[in-house]
Amino acid sequence: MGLLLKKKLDEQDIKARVSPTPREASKSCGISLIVDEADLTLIKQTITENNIEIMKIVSLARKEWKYRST
Amino acid sequence: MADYQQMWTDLGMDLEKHDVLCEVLPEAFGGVYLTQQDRPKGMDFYDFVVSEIHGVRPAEMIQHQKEGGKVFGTFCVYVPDEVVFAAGGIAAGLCGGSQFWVAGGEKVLPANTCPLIKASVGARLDKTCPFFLIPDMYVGETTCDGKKKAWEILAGEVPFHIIDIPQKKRDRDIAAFAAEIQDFIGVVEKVTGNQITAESLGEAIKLINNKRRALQRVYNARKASPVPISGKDALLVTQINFYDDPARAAQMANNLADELEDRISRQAGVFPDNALRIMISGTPMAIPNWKMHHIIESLGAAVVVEESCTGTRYFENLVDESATTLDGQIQALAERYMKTNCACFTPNTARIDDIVRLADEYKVDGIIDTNLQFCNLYSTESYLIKQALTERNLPIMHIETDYSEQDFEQLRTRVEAFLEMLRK
Amino acid sequence: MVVIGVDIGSVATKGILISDGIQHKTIFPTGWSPRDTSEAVIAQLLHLSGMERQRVTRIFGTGYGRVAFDQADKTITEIKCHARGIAELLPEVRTIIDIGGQDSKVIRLGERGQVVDFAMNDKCAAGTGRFLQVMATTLGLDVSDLGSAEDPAQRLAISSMCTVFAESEIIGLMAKGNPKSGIVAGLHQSVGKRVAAMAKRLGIQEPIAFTGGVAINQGVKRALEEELGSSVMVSEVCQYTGALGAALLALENV
Repeated sequence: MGLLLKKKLDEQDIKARVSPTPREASKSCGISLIVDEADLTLIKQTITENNIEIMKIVSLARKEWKYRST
Repeated sequence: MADYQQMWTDLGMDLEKHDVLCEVLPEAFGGVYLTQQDRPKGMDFYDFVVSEIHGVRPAEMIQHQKEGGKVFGTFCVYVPDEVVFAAGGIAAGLCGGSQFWVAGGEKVLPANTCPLIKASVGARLDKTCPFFLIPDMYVGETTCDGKKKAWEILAGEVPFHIIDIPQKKRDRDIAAFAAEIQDFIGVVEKVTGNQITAESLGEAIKLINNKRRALQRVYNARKASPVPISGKDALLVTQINFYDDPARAAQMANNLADELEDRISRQAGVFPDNALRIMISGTPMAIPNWKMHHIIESLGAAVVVEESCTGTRYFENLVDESATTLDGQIQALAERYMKTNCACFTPNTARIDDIVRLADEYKVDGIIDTNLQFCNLYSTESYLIKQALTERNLPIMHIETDYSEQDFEQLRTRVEAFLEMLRK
Repeated sequence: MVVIGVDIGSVATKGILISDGIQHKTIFPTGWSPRDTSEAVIAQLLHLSGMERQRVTRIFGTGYGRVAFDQADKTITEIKCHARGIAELLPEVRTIIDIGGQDSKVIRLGERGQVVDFAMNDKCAAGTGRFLQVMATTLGLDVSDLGSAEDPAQRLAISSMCTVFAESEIIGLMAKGNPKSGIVAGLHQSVGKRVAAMAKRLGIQEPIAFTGGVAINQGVKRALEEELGSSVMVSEVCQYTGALGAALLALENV
């Protein structure tokens, strides 16, 4: 589902990045799409139009990704 | 998006400890991968795999087992996956690439052991990785001393078959390895309950060869200048190929290769035109070890090829598909796998030839020869490699490191100094 | 044109300001804030030269603390900076041996003074200024007095490679009444041996320059020459080699 939504967004040139779900959003691992707040209306529309199931939309403060070793 | 907690519980995983890794992963992945610009769209699939890294593929493997199938965990590119798939099994590369698992390994292994081995043992003993808990059998091998003895310890935990890898490459060693493959066939047949025929083995050879061809296409695209994909991304593709379903892996890699070829035709690159082109050679970088690539690429140089088991040594050379009898196929497998130039062989001058050839094919400005800490084989070999490359005026620097963050700044300084040297 | 080069080492931060061919230099202990110290160094250089900040065209930074150096227009590794500094001070040199506060390195130079190869020891205190600092404290001496405190004729061998164990070893030697001057000579030999081994691994080409704060120590110089079997050149401003290189690179805007 996550990849399907990504594909639909790509078709409309809406920026999205596939990512493991950030901890602040949810404790379980899984796929998330990181998007710009500004694009939210269009994205919600895309989700409804294509019957895509999502768990939730979470707003996170923009932050610098810093290197962290695994 | 599925919740895998139940699956993990059923596997007997230590959920609390596992959660610590889950916590680090999004940031670790983000910091390395999502800071990149203009990544190929084909990378979406691989990002997705990482997002669900302990979910999707393990679920597939468990389903396979529910349907009566068997899963084999492997640790070395010398193990012929073809045999497992020919018997209807699933083969998956198990490799510890994270500092997270090292402590678990250090409970039973000496501290001065390669971190990859420590992490592999730790992942199993601490029960913090589903891939390590799913297999019905582990397939070990006699490559380096560290692994050889570590398998003895792990054998107490899970059924193990050890393949004896020769140390030389004479005709009789290739014959000996063919005999090992024959034995391995017997073992796999017993575990799976399926017979391996010339037909099924022939199919499996084609299946794995196709994966190799697809990866070769992706790598070929990196010969272009400007390079259309980052080294980090290419490494991730290779790492995931180790355990993903071979048919899907080939398809995804081919999709990516298509996109990269298109980028090349448009001269679209992900690094500036004058970015230095670097080869990394040496010991494998198991997922999620992205350390060296990250250091090099965040300094503005592009890693354009990896001469390692998580690189060209994984997919170069195809198995001859013309054999029609089991004996012929086993011979073809033995011949192909014995072409892999690992430092556990002596002599290993063919690796020097590989490095020189790849430096030319990928138009490399410099080589970083890196091995995991405590690996005597590769670190000793680096002396002759440096000698040979210096004679040919190919700049090379040797780095020995582990998975931790501790030496990050020192490594940055060395790599930066090496890049400064190359720029003159 | 006015330029500044700052080498932020683990122990000391060195700065050089070049203005119309005239050099001013200053040195501060790095302390715990490389950022604050580098600012202090710049302020001092401006004071010494009578310049205003706006007149400085470029500031280049090097050394382990360079990542925190906000005011730098560019940061360059110590390897390249030392090479540039030596090309200026001792242009015929083909090998640089640098012993700093917490690392030591060997740099091989080509015909044009460019870096052709290098090796670093940055993981272990042995063979670095840190080793000498720890031992000096144990002996009740100032590290700057070590050079003149040695007596090679009474040299005692220190067998421990590791700084921590070596410390225990010299405490034992002192307890047995051995002369401090002999112990100091032994310590210098340890450092010399360690660094010479690294240099031989990389391959040495003469002439050799010895740079870094530890090069001021005559005893280490003697020990190094003995272990290498060659003489080494030490510039009067050996500790400023990196900062000088950074300043010159700033001038050339490389």
